[in-house]
Amino acid sequence: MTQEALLEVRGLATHFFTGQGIVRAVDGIDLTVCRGETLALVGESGSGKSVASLSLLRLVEEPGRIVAGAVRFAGDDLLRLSEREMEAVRGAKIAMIFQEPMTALDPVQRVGDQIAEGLRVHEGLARRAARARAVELMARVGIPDPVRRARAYPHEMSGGMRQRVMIAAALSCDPDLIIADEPTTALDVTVQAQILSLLDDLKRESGAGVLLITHDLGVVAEVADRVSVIYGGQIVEDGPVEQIFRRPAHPYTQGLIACVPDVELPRQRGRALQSIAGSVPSPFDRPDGCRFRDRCPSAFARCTEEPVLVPIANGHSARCWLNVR
Amino acid sequence: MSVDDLLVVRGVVRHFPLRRDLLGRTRTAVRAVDGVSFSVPAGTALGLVGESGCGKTTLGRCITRLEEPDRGTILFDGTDILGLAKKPMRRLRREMQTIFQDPYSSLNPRRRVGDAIADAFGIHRLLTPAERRETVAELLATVGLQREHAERYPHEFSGGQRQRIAIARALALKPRLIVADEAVSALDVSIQAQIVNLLMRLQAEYRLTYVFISHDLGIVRLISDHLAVMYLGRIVELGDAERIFTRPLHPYTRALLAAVPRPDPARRGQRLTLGGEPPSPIDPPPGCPFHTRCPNAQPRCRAEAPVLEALEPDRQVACFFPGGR
Repeated sequence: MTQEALLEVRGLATHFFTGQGIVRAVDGIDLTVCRGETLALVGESGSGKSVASLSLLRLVEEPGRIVAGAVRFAGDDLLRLSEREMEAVRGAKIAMIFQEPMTALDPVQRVGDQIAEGLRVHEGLARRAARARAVELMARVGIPDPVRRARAYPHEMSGGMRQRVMIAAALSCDPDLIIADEPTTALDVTVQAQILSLLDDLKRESGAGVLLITHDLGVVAEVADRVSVIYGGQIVEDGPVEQIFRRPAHPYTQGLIACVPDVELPRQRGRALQSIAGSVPSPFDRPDGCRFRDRCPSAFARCTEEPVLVPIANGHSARCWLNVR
Repeated sequence: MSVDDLLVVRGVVRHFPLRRDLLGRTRTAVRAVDGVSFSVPAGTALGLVGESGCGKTTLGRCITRLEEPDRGTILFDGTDILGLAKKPMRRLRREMQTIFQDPYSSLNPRRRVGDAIADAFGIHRLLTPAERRETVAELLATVGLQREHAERYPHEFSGGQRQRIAIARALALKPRLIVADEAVSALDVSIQAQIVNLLMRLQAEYRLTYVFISHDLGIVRLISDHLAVMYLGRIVELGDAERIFTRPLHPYTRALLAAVPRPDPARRGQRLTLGGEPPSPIDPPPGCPFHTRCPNAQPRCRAEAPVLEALEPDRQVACFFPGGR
């Protein structure tokens, strides 16, 4: 693959300086998103995946601080831009879609106006032109009767329609990169399928890159080109999606895949679902060495040493001593 | 209905009035549950599935009378609970417990966990303080927690541990029926698997009867003996869970199953998507409620509403053309 890298994150670290100590929420991660490609950043709660995505846009709030790394995007290191330059990047070159559009949308403003607002600020369109474009965008994301729906308030729409509004707003400035944080988690599977295929179509049409943040491996299998698995603030495995599902190399990735119940598997009474023992360790007392070792079924002596991400196959690497001979 | 049925639900209706006329008569209403009947044999699990807004949560609340149905009959172990006065109902409620999605909101943040569990006894005045302490310790052990955990507060626990606490509290009164409403939906996949296993183990150990409400069909298949598929306040398919999963007969059931994402990138794009969204339960379409989204809708479906009819042993379907005929 000789694709052009759109976003290159190197050694990004975001720590929270709290009264109880330093939380290394994101602890030196690398991510690459190419044009026209979807990278899924997969992790459970507390893994650091959402802090990582907020860090890319420099939206981390006190007591959180980005302490190291580079975020290269379109020739710039976003971490070195002025706040003013950064404003121009957010919402225009990089758009963000969140899990619950109800909280991201203004409840007292008509949805058409909310989409138009971005167009006026970032593209300098006049009010009427912006409104007309907002209706076009709503039609493009599959909202029926967009002229009438543009005058609706968010609470008058279903969750799926609100997520389409969010996507229309995100697309309004023709972004190069879309960061989607759990965009379908709050939706029914039927609507989820519609939204994912919409995102996929839009990516293909515009050639934008997508960074999809999710815990849902079904969604990952459906839309990702490449996958980075995050655990305890570190990337523990990354690679092409087929490799990750067919030959997961890290015991955590293997465990995650095994935990998903298969709807096609006939029921056998008394058969337990595979699970991963324990829970994600608190960032205050992560084990030293490999952060997964106290939950890992294959842990051995060497795991007290911190493993590094090592290549296994073409474009596929894992942070686990089992892969080091 | 048979003598083994612990729960029998007959013709239950729950409408939420939106507007009334001058005489106090309901003019418009949300028809959340619109005439639902099923029964659950003791020691078995009924899975209750459907998209959000289909009425599954309201139905779950009606079963334990957290919500008063407008019409219908609910028999618990042969007793008509809708006719019960407050006191006998309170006594009976010990035997029917609910586990909700978000354990955090169902636990008082200022009560120690041990006290929260013991509260259940307090209300029903069953045990001495010493017996209570011992029983709390036993319950904590049953759900995989330690005796010391009784002294801690809910915020000191992870989401999975809090759900274990909620389960311990539900078990405190030795219930026979547990209504689990999206009980594992908010949990991380690795933890979700642990809690599902715990619920299955407890069912076998205590011969519990479950009504398991969930949007996750993979988990539902793992747990359920029987399945009820709801659409717009009504059951559209009901019967033996394995048979329905293997050969769904209602087009909605088929669409729901086809929409489940499979964690396998090789099968990408094979997921069939159901168009549109469920119509509003305020103004359901005439005829079959599913006809607006049904791929095989015929003129008859727009005019007449099909009723749930037995098609084969242990299988009822509300469709004029079941199985696509």
